[in-house]
Amino acid sequence: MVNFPYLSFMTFTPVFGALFLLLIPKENARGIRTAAAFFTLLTLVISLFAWRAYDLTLDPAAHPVQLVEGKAYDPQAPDAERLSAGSAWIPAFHIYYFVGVDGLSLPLLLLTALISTVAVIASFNIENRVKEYFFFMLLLEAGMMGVFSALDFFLFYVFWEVMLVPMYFLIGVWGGPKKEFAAIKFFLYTLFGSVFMLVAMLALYFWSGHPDRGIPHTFNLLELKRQAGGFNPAFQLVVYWALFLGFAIKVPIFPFHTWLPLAHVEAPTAVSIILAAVLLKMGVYGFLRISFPILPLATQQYATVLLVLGFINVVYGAFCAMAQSDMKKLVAYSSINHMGYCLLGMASLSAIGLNGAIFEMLGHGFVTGSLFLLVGVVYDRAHHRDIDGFGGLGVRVPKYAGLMTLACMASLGLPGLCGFVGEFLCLLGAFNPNRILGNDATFKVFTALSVIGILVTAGFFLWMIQRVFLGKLNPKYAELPDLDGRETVAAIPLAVMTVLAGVFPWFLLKVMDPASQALVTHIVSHAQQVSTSGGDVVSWLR
Amino acid sequence: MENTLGLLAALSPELAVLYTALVVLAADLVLTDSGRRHLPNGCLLGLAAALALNHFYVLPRCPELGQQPLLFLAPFTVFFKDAILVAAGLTVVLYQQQKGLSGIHPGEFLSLLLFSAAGMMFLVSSDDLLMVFLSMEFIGIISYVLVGYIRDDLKAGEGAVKFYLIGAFASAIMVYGMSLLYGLLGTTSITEMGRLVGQAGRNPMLLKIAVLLLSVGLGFKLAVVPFHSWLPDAMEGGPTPVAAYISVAPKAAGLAVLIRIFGEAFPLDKIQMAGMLSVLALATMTFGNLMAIPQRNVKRLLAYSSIGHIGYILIGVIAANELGAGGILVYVVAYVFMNLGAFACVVAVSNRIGSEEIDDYAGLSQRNLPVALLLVLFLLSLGGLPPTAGFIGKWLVFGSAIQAAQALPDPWASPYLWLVIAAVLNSVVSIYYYFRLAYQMFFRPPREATGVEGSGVLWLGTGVAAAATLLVGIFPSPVIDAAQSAVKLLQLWKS
Repeated sequence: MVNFPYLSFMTFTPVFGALFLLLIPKENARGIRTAAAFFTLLTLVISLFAWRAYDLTLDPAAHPVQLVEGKAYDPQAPDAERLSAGSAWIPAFHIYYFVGVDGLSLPLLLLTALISTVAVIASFNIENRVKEYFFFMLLLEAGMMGVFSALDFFLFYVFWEVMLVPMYFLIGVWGGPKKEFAAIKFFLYTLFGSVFMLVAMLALYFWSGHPDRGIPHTFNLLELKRQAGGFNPAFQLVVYWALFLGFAIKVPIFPFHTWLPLAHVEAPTAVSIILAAVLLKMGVYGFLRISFPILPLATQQYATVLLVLGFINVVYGAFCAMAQSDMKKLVAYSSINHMGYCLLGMASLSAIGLNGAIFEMLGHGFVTGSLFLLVGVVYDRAHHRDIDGFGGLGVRVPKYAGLMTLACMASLGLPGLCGFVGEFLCLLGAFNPNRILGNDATFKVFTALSVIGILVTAGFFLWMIQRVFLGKLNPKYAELPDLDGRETVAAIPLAVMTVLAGVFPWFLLKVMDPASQALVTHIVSHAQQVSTSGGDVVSWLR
Repeated sequence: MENTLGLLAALSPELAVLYTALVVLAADLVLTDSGRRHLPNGCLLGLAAALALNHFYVLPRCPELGQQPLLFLAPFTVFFKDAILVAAGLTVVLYQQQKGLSGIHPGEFLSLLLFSAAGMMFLVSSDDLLMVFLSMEFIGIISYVLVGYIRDDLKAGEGAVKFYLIGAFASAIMVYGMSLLYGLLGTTSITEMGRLVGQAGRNPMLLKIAVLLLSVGLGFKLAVVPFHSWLPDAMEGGPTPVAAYISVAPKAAGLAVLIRIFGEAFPLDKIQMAGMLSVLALATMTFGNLMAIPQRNVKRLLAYSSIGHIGYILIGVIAANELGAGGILVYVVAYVFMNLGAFACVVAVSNRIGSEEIDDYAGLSQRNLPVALLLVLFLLSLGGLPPTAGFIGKWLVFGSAIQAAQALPDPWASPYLWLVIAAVLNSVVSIYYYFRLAYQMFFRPPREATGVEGSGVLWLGTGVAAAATLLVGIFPSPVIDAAQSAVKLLQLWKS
């Protein structure tokens, strides 16, 4: 079987595109836009082919990851074989260019490709420094693709950091009134978290393997996962919280969320879309890809902490959103609320909960992507986003009102739309947590309390719809034009996905489910292993 | 006779540099003004020849040429000399471009620069404390002159005098330490001292004091806090190419000696100075980074940032393992390219707008996008973000400390992990002040609409530095392998 390097193409097509843009003269804005759209669309097409090439019939135990490039990863192979999967990059430290996907990362890659395309189309109206804008946009896409496809911690870290710089410039140059402050706050806050991730990464490397017995240290995430039984409880605790800082800031988990409303509100529309729809997912993805499988005992011990933080995110985010008068801020706080559902699902350590968390990531991507897009549309026309400054727009802009209402309904969890599936699975999982957690009652209480969040979410979205679209038409906006062709093209795919994933969630769940099941089994068996053996990497490897 | 030939062969790179310096000095006397314009190119040729000799002649013959009196020759020293020669070459390029400097006695300036490069190469190769002292004085005196090169500039004079006074003070203390060491051990050879130091019958307290006094001199060269105060003034006052040079090359040479002193002669675990060195490292990185925040002048900002970098590098010495020593080598290569690259951008801007104030960088991205993008690349590398050389250097050095911690029964009882945590937090701080420049260049409107042009040679300098910064960042394997094998051949932490 000849393997087409789908993942490398998905990661490096945008890089190539960014370099290509540099060759187009600055004045040719039209050409730059077309080229940027072409390269994101090409990435999307490749990722659709990758989706098709992903084989669901393969046994996940024998093929934990697919679409690997270079040397394949075979769990049955001897140590040296497995450790050198991928292609050599820095042999002195056993670092490999090792990429691959499983049910967890494949949907997120697709989401990234789709959202990037939408974002590029949505930013066609950028007039200022067009070339630089799309240059950074494409670099950003490359970084995101790389994060979701990397299976080597070093590679993962490189892509994770690479993304910060384009984001800094995108917010800082093209953003709103407080853009400079928002940009540097985003940059420093995220960097603060990720330097701790760097320390954790180095610690995992030097504590893994056993060079004296010919098993080298490794950055390979699948290998680190295999050795999870060998990391002692004290070590797991330290590394877990170091990684937690890195990921929690990205999610963002209360109380590390303060960069988010600022960055989301100040960023230009398309960048807000990417921030909310993809960047936040990287935090959750980090937990599921790195913390959970590699540190199972710590994961089990601190699941309750995640649960409580998830509850705070849900309720606090919802109440904050309700208090906003700015539409964009409202959507930003609703993101904090939705990431709370993900945390609830993850904390449960059950397959249903994990499925819910992954599904919620996708659902939130589609829904919040369209919400930011549509808020951006009305801002372009009215030059403000004050909820009370509109009124009765439903009569004047029916297409816009319809799409906006659809997105709001999906976000508040109306059955039949994608938000419902994710939220329901997360709450269901958290209500019936994994037996190894042992404190059923706490989980049930906090899950029940989290339902308040749903209520409040419904409240603020409906209230917003009422104030913006219903009632008497504000005479100031009697001439407000409806969505134009470009905006419709950008909005429709997300709306279609919102409905499709809502009525037919299985086409996504069937991909995720094997990954969730495998992760739960892994955590249960390895957490027990560590607690009985005390976690000694040497005896474990023997 | 054979010995002499062998010595000449071993010193061929140094001799090439010295001869070039003499030729330049002589040519300056006979040439006309138009001929003098080619002097920098002559220097570059001489440096390239020295680099070629060093890398292709001396490196393969290290084992046979290695046995020389007072000298130490190994892939390790070849590595550092390469870095110094590259730094000198890039400095010549900067000199050629710096407005208002290249006209003043070019022969004198260039020969001084080359002499100091030769001095640094001798320092790297010193196997004897006397050689260390002589080379350091040689480099020092030339550096004072170079900093004060523009005689009628008050700031240059101030920088040079401060540099000189603190340098003289540090040298005196260092010589005292050396004399104590000689009294204690009866030898001045670094290799020999390594053999003797473990033996019984030495007064450990006195030995500690002697090593401490010796490290004062090195600390001054490296600008370790609290011996750093000369660096910002010297760098701000001196011509920009000199500032670039003294922030990089003497530090590389000093690090080579430091690694051998604390790795070979007085291993940290034997003299129990890891704690003291950790305090110095912590103070150096924290002070350097915090003091860089309020700076308004780019050269002063880069001076304080270079103090911070020395703090990070010291972690590699404290970790006392091969990974740390190799990491320092990679860090030095990265630092040469990224810091000189940043200075090349500073020269390009100051040539045009005649200012080195950070506020005057406003809107540079619209006046000259390539320079702005290149400067951002160098700043990213200085801040240690991937995919740049600076990240690889930091990653190796921090990794070495974590490896050292892993070998201990209780990792938290040692300073290693705490140092790494302090260092990564410092990196976050450093991004803040580095990106104040990015903020000015990209987010502020330009003060004048005129463009900022660079010239061909400058593009060569920045291009080489940028290419190296990115290449080492994305494909670090060759440099890492070279550094590791250079370190493996030393007798570091072995006995």
